[in-house]
Amino acid sequence: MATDSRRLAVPQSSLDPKSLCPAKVERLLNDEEQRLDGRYSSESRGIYLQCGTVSQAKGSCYCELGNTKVVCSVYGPKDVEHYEDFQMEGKIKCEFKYAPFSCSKHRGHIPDLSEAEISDVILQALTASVRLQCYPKSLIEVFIIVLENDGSAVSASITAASLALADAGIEQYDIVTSASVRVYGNGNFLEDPTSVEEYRPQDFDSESGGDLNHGLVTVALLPTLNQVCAVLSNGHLECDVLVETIQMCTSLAQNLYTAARKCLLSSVKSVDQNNA
Amino acid sequence: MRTVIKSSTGQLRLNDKSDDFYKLHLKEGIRPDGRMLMEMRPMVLNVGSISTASGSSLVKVGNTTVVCGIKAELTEPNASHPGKGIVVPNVELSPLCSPKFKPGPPCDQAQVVTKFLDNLIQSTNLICLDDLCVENDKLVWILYCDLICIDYDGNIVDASVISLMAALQNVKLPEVKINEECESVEVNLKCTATLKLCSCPVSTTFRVFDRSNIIADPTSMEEELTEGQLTIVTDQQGRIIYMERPGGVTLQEEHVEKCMKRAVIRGAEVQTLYMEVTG
Amino acid sequence: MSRCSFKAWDLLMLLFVTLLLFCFAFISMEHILGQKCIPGERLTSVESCRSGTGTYQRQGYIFASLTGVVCKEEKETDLPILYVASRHKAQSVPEVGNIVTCKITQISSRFAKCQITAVNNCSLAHAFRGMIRKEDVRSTERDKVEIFKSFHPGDIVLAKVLSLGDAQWYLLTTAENELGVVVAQSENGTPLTALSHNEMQCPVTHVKESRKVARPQKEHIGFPER
Repeated sequence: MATDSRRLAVPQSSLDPKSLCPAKVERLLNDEEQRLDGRYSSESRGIYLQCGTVSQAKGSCYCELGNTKVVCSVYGPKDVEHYEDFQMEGKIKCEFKYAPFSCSKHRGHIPDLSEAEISDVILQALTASVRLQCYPKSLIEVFIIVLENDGSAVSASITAASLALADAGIEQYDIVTSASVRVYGNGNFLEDPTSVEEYRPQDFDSESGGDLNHGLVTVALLPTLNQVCAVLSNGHLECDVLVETIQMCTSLAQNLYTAARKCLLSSVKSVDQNNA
Repeated sequence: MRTVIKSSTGQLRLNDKSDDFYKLHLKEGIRPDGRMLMEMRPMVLNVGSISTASGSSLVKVGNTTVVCGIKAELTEPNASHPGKGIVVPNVELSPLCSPKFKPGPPCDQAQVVTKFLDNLIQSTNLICLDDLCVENDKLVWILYCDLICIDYDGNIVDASVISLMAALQNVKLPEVKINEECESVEVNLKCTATLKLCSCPVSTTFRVFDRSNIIADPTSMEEELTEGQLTIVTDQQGRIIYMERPGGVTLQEEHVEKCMKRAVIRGAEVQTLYMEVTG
Repeated sequence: MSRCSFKAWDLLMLLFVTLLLFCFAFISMEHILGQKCIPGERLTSVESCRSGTGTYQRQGYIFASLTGVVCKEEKETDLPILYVASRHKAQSVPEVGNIVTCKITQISSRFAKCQITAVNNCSLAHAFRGMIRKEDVRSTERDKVEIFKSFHPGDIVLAKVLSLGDAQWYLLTTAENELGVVVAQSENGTPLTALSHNEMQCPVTHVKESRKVARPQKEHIGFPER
């Protein structure tokens, strides 16, 4: 762990007490086809979205997907700082970060590679929807922080980021919604997985038992235009299984459109009441 | 008279006319948001909403929002204090909470507030560090206290202290024993205990405007217009246990006394809030 | 005879259907006006309206690109413009031809650098950087301009955006009568009063200073009551 001279000194390593007595999870689906939290495989958790949570930001959104909590704020369009960033089209910068207390093990403050990868995926999804030609020589900054990670943090972040951009008055072709599906063995698709259900490569050997298909697929979708703008897939998946999973994620993301639309329209109403 | 324009952040710097605008308000004894000079913003406190953390809290002081999450982990103790646990506070002022902050390493303000919390924990003996020791010289608890600011509208110090205290009161540590025979660590997650806190501090921050006006609980805009700062920390008995005055303009003695009296009243109000929320 | 009547009946049906479609289009268009919309919602077809701010065209239809209320602007000679009014101000980025308010930050012999703080009377959340070159200060005797006699750091200037410029600066011009210094301070901090198109005077010390002054618009000129 790199020592940070601007923060208080911490020991090299520390142990999470929960890792010392792991509750070994043998199966994610019991005999009645129920998951660990009581849901069926084709049941998603309820989503809560609210715009305008950060008063200092141009636009912001708070998203709760079960226990997963994500805050996103958007600043811009602003002047580009560096000469290299100059383009006749606008530019988006995205920073994704897990809070140090959001996962089961304490995370460092310096963004690591996995957070950089997720920032890139979110940036891809948002670049497809924002009308950058309306903002020449400008920079739009998107900051996302995950306060609690109970699975599907990436898909919650993408949805929150797109709603924050809409709340900030940034022109978009369409809002972006996103959903994840965990593939568990042959023919088992767990919609909207929790953190226990998410795919981990080290679990693969114990779960294989002849089944080849284990993985996690996240899809970002433009619902009205019905176009997929980003796909992130982890794990071992056969081609036709991957295609089926992407289609499942797409329909899940489409279902989120009503909730997202309601959230944005309610923010319009609250401003009108202020103006009236 | 300010004629130099600093455009390094790209953000609009308030021009000289804001000073006059503010002075007009202060003449009537009121601030632009309608508060009296010594009036505080309403506060909202919520604990225990983050299940991945051992203890957590969320505080809103007006618009300023701070989330504190405490992760309790096990580590080897420092060689200089083999029987004491470790508490590491850290305040995160990221660009998410305000356009004033840039991405990258912690800014000066974040470092100052982190050090303030560290000083407060040490000088008031807030947490009995001996209680955090599992096995002398082998295993101790380390509490990572991370305070993330989600919305910055001034007075991060007060919000940080309140959220840190509420989160510490919410922490539940599992029972940990070292099995001497197999030299392994046994953790019993079902048997948890709360932290024993030796003190329950509340801080109140004041700013000085134009050398003669003292305002309490400044917003972000007021922080830019004012010069000096005074932070007074009181405990549950109403005694003043810590005071910080980081330079700036001079203060009259009667102003300091006025601030101390106000801080004691404020301390009592927040203590009742802690009681209500943490039970 | 029967063939002729069949043809007339066809024409009559065609006319009726067209009228119905027209009415339907008219009603559906009226239906969306005043409604709230979010980005990506299809509003109407390009045949009935043109797309304005907050909308875009795709495959013969107009879609919303902002969150807000759908509004229409009537035009005499052309199709009406459909736009989305959002709570954020319409202008967030300076465009060519906009009148901008800026504050001079730095001057040199060849140009004056400034910070653009407002566009078309909407103040910006983030300031952009602009530059007024020596030859763009005024329209007459453009090569004999001295920047120090036209602007001082700290002056508030009304300018027009000439072009998007390069990576760092928008190119601005004050080469019109209504453009130039609006507010300036003398060395001791008092606001200067305008005397003519190239002079301002301090009301306390009565010292005259050279500036390229903007002509006040007629509606802002007031005469003292006698």
